[in-house]
Amino acid sequence: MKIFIVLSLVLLLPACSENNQIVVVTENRQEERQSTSSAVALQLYREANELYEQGDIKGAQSKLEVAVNSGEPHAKELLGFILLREPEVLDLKKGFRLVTEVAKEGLASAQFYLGSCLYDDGCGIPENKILSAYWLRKALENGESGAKMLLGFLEEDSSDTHINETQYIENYSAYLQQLNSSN
Amino acid sequence: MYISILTHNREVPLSSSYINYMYPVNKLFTSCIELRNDSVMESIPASSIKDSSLAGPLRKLPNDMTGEKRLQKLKERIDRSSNIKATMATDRAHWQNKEVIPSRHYTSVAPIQPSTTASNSMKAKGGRAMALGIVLQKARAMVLYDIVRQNTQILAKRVKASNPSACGCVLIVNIKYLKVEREYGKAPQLSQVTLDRLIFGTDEPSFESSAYVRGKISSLCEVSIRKSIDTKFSIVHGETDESFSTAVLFIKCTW
Repeated sequence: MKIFIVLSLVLLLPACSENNQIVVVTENRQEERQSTSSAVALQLYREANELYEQGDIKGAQSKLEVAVNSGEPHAKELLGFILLREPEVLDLKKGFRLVTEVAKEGLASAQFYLGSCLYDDGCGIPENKILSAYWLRKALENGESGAKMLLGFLEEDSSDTHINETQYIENYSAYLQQLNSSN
Repeated sequence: MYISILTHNREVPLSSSYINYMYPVNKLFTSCIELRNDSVMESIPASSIKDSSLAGPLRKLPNDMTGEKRLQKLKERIDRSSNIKATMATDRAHWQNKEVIPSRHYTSVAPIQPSTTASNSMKAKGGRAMALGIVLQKARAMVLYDIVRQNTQILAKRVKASNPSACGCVLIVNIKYLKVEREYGKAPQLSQVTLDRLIFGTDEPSFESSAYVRGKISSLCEVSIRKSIDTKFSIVHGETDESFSTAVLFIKCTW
């Protein structure tokens, strides 16, 4: 019996270590692939920034769209921003959706941007005080101390600025429909 | 409502080039320096390097020193020389208790050199922004611009509603920024917008941008010697931590 246990251990141990090696190699490859794809996305973001600086909005847009597919949050924010702002490629619904997505992922600048722009129609998108309060509070929680002022104004004007997720989702869907009709 | 930026030279309309008119708080206010005096710079002799002193024939030499490499070395030497000169100018101004604000005269104040990825137009347009240490990216600057514009407009509207007799106001916008260079990431943030003063019909014709900014700086210097300012309508000055600092933008709104 003892001999059998020892033999099985001798056979099993190398097999286990081989399996572990395979797992480690696969993980390393995945990490390498991720880092390569993020480096490519970063390069695309840089190039898009330069094109935007030079006034080539469409060129910037096409580069950013590729970067967004790699899940680059800053590229997503910039593409959304360009679609909301630049008349040449204006697409309010898609732009708003992209900036919202990246704000949901936790990018504080996007949260503050949405909170400020939704406060009134100054950025070219319709106002929505509930969504504004929601994003301003998120931005404040994420370290954007400037969001305090507008949040204070909203508190003075309306009773509650603590928007829960249900209220947010309801308002978000209604707002998207509003953008559809305005498009 | 008309919104403009106040600088110590002139008043300019609020636009996406706002970043060029921001004042670095740690440099201007906490060190309490006077405004620029151009004669300081003129008194410093420029070191002379002749463009031809290192130039050579465009052929391969035994030491592999091609014309291109010589030219590169020449450029490096010119660069070094101008850096030394810039540092000297700033140091002398500091010793004389003169003001040192980031400008083409005091380039050594710039903690960040133009990055290699920046295009020429970016470098030209963003000279002062880079001097402030703000990461220069069109996209980040534009996002911040919309945030700044929205917040100042909203505050100005409220000021107007609560002060019907006033015809304008001056707002102070504080921007928190990273002093270190980053490819991208933490963008400059709007940290606070405060009302500094109201403008009434009688003041408006005599309101002068340069006098206001100079007065603001000198009064803040006096106060900052005695104690730190901590009121509702104050400038957030000084560094919040080692890697961050604050820049300030003076904005005038008239209605």
